[in-house]
Amino acid sequence: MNRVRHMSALGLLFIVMLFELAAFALLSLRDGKFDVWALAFALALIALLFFQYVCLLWISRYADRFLLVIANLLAAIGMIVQYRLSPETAFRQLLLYGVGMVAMFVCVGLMHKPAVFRKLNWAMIVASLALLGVLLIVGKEQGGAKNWITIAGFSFQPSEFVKVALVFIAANYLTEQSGWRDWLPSAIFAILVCGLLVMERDLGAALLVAGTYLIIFYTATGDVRTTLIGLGAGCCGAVASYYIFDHVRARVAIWKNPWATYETSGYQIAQGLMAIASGGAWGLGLTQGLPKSIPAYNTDYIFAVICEEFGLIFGIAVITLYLMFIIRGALVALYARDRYLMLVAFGCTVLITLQSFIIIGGVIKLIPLTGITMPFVSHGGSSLIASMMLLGILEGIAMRNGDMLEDAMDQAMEQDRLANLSKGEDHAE
Amino acid sequence: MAANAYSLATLVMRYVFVGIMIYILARIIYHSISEYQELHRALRWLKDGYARHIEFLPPYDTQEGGYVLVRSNLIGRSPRCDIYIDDRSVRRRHALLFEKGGEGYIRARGRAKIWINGQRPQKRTALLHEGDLVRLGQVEFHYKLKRTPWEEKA
Repeated sequence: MNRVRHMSALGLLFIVMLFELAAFALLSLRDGKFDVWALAFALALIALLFFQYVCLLWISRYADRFLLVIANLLAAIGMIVQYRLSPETAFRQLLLYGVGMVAMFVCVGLMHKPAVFRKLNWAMIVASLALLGVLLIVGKEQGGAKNWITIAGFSFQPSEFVKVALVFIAANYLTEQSGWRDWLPSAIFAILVCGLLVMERDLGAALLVAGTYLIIFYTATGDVRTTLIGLGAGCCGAVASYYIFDHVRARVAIWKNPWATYETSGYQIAQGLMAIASGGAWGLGLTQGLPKSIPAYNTDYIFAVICEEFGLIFGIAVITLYLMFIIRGALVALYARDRYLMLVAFGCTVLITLQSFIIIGGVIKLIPLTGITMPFVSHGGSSLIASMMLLGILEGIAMRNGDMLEDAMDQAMEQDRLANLSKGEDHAE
Repeated sequence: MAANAYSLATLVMRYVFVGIMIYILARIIYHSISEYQELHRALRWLKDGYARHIEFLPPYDTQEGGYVLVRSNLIGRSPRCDIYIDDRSVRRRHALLFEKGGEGYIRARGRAKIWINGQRPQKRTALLHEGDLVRLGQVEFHYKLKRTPWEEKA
């Protein structure tokens, strides 16, 4: 009872809802006439978020509320921008958010038995490699990368799920600490996945997988030398791919000077930069910008749209939200009692934040642009569902931490009571 | 005219959006820090046996080891209180036990009365010391700082 009280985040959630309601009220009056669908959309979203919060806390009061609120806020911003761009895709996104929510609850449930994932290790390795291998043959090319599979009318991006599997596989092998033989299979797996992703021209995912694996490796082993060797190998791989593949060279050339090829390949980055610049510190105001002039405006370049309409300060606040996500996720990892769960929690956190920084860095021309989605915000079913799965895994581990802490405290109290009893008997004698 | 009013509204609303965003961020950071402190305190309690807690006298000594206090705890008859005592002599929201600068304090709420070691405190907010006997209505409890480690007791 009341030993570690967790702060209620319901008030915070109401403010998130207020934010949505304000934005959708503005959107509903867009064309000079009242759009009922915008308000209906807002109410549906609010109901969904509230349901999610209540259900998660009903499962366990130790769920991490702030991770959930951060994800909710990011998803809400995403859906506001989607609705402003095109209501149809926004409704699809809302549906996918519902599916992602189910996936999240499934992951929360699965984290009660994390041993299952350790047993399924080989299955996950084979499935990941098979999915990426099949992709090389039957993959559909979309936006320069061959990373889509269509099964029975639904198209999805296997790389999104492979990176979730990578976290579990890496954590499984890095849990043992006796020597290099333990982690070697996971390193080989990571290299294979990277190679396959580069061959599919999915450079963003390759960079993400390599970065995530190196960070998990360093946190698990604390081995600076091997990590630096890995980093060096990664750099060598990047340089090699620069010379081998045309599309990598093209990307770097665009990054160095997008204005030289403004008419053709540099158009996207240049438009994105101009959109951010025209937004200024406070933005042009929702619905007042021209986001549709940027290619991939609702997936990769959504950050530029946010900056244009909501302003740079808001953009920085979005980046800070991702930073808070790292902090909360790292706390969940720190308090995990089990090394395997600690690595899984940290891996999930790194995956989400690294992904957001790779795409935001690409949009603001800090690093070469690689096509990748912004977690929770971008339009895209696979990405949204994978992000929600990662969130569910983190929540599941947070719940386990809380239960374990409570058990430990109960045990300590029980021991106290026994000690007191025996002391009483001594006095009686 | 309507279009002008609408664009003006969007211009005003962008400040609202930024304001809400920064407010949410500030709240998340503030709550994260306090939650971290409470968790840290719980872990320290487990490790070193140090915790501010209260121990009720009979017949309300139902919880073994007393109630460990967090940064602020509301005591009262209402089930919504952090520490809830089902006794008619206690008001629905009777008193607040809180920590400030490493010291524990108690503050009576509204017209509620409290006694510390048999005396009414001079001010509404009173400093608590180790072993103080606090009375709310008919209910009494001891304020304790240290949970004796098991090794010492055994």
